[in-house]
Amino acid sequence: MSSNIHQLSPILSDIEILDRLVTSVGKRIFVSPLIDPQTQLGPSSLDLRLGFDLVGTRALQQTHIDLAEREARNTLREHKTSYFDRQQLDPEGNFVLHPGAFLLASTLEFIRLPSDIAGRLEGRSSLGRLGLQVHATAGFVDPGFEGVLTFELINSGKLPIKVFPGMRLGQICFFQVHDVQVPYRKKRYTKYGGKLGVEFSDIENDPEILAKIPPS
Amino acid sequence: MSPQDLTPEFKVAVRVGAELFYRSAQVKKYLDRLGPGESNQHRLLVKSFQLALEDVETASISSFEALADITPEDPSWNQAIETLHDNLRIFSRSFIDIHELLALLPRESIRPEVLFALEGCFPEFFEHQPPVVLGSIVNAFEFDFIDILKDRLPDIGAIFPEDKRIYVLQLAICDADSPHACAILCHELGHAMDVRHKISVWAVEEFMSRFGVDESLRPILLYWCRELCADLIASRVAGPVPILTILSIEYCIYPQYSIGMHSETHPSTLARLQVIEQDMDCSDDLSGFRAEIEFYKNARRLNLERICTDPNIRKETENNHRVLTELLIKQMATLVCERLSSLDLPDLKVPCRRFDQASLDRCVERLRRGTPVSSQGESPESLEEKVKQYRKRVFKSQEERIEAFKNLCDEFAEKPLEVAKILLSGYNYKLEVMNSLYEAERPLGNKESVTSFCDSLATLDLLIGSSIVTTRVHKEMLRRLEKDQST
Repeated sequence: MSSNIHQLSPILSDIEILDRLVTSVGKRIFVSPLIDPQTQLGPSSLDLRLGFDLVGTRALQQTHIDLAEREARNTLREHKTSYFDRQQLDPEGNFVLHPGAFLLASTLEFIRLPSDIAGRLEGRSSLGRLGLQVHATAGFVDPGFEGVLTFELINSGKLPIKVFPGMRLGQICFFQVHDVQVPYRKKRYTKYGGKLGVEFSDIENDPEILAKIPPS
Repeated sequence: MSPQDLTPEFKVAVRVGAELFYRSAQVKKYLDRLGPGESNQHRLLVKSFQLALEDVETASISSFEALADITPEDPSWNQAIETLHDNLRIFSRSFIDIHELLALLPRESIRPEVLFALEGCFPEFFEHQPPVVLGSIVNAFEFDFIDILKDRLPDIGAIFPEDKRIYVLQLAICDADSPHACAILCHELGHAMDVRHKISVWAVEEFMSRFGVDESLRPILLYWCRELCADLIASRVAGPVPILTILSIEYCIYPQYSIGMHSETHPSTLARLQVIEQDMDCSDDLSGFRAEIEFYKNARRLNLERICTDPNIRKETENNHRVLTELLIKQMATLVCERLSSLDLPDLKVPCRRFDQASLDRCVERLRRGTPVSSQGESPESLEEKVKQYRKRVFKSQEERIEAFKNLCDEFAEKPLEVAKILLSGYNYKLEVMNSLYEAERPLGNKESVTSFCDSLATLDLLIGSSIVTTRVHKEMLRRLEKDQST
């Protein structure tokens, strides 16, 4: 098997990103609001800002989450609203992320990618150097995705970090992809597309998880 | 049934049904969110409400379904229409009763975007955030809490300073998730503004002295003038959406009552609409809603025909209504406008609010595509041209190119939209969704189509709500950036 079989597609440069922001609708990258494009646009990336929807987690009486066990899965589904703690940040307020804390936060920007562009969400190095990670697993943005993106925030530093809605928290770079057959929003099992806020995990509805559950 | 078969009466019934189904769906979602309670203490109540709503919905869907299979030429058409009206009457009455009984359950807090919307519409004089609570559908009213306290607790009246006011606004529970429904609260804040500046009191005094009106009419004139004043203030800050929201609520009670007539406390909705039309005459903002206004006028006429079968009595009723509207209501409204123009309140001086139609169309297009409308910049076509021009340029140096690119980037900056514009574009799209029902083969004729319709409006609610909060964050960021630049 060729080692180049999964060669990366070219990353869009700054001028190519601007091109794509205004090209014909079917090929257009939609990002809004664009508050300060001169600051946000890098040589090959676009900074994204923290939105106002936050979701944290709370400890429950359960000892673990076993997604393949019917009872635990049902418990997770039923207790989702108590396991996840949703807050809406005041537009003029802020939030403190303590060391070791994990929470999900939406981007301020609503994004739509055409079917020939994928995205990669990364943190900003200036915040990374303080210990603030903005994603663990949610970095890849599929072609055809639309909605707000989710930052998976973890403070791996020693001091609490205060964040506020609108601050630039991450950056997205865009890749040209070719010949996509099924864009994200046409997939059979899209969980998080088209959303305007952070969504709770929907892992228990994955087909593989469902198939693993023994008959009752 | 094809769209050409939709008689005016059936179209009105579809509209009434749509408004009821949508609000019923909102109440069911509200009940889902409330859940059974931590100790299951209101499980039975929640379940009962949900079943009752399902029951009345099902009966109305069956009636729509029956009509979808026949045409107006069919001998059974008239009977089917009557059955539909009966079921809608039951739906309307049951829905209102159920809604009022929701007071038995704990109430959610108001969504933040409701307050942001009000603050966005009244930026200059929204000094103190009034408490906004969820409540009755028929009384989205404001009341002065201090007056109530003083009345009920006369012994502690001296604690409150004379000029202290706490206006409590109520929003219907079924509208809790609908940001453009909260435009009705602009009308309520209009009442608060009226009390503060004594606008209607002055207008009535002026009217009575100019036209030599008998003193016995003062109470009813004050009632009417207060409503006109609140409507005018609301339209001047938030455009036509507040008055159109009133029409939307009226469709919910349409099957039960005679609509469109003056009452002891309120001028008719038609008169109020005509006052706003008159005031906004110089604005294009109403142009997109002409069809909606004509639809309402037609619905009102049909309602009157149904309730009053004698054409002579109807003619006399309409004549009386017209005389009162022209000679009294519109005159008082003119005095209110005169007073608003004389006050030192810039947002209220201008009788109409110009929103660029092209810009509004772009907002509606975004909503059609399922994207929020919190901000807007130059059109993509204009920016595309600028990018092309940039690419054609030959730069003498890298510094020149960098400077030109920075300037090009600045062109892409978006500005936060005014809340009134967000609400206006939302309402425009809502009417599109409503009107699309008339193109359907079986309008509201099965559960799936009703659910799909309600989901479309629920998605719109989310988009508008998200837009209102995002625009607020956007404004805050601009304020911070300006502050950074100045220091």
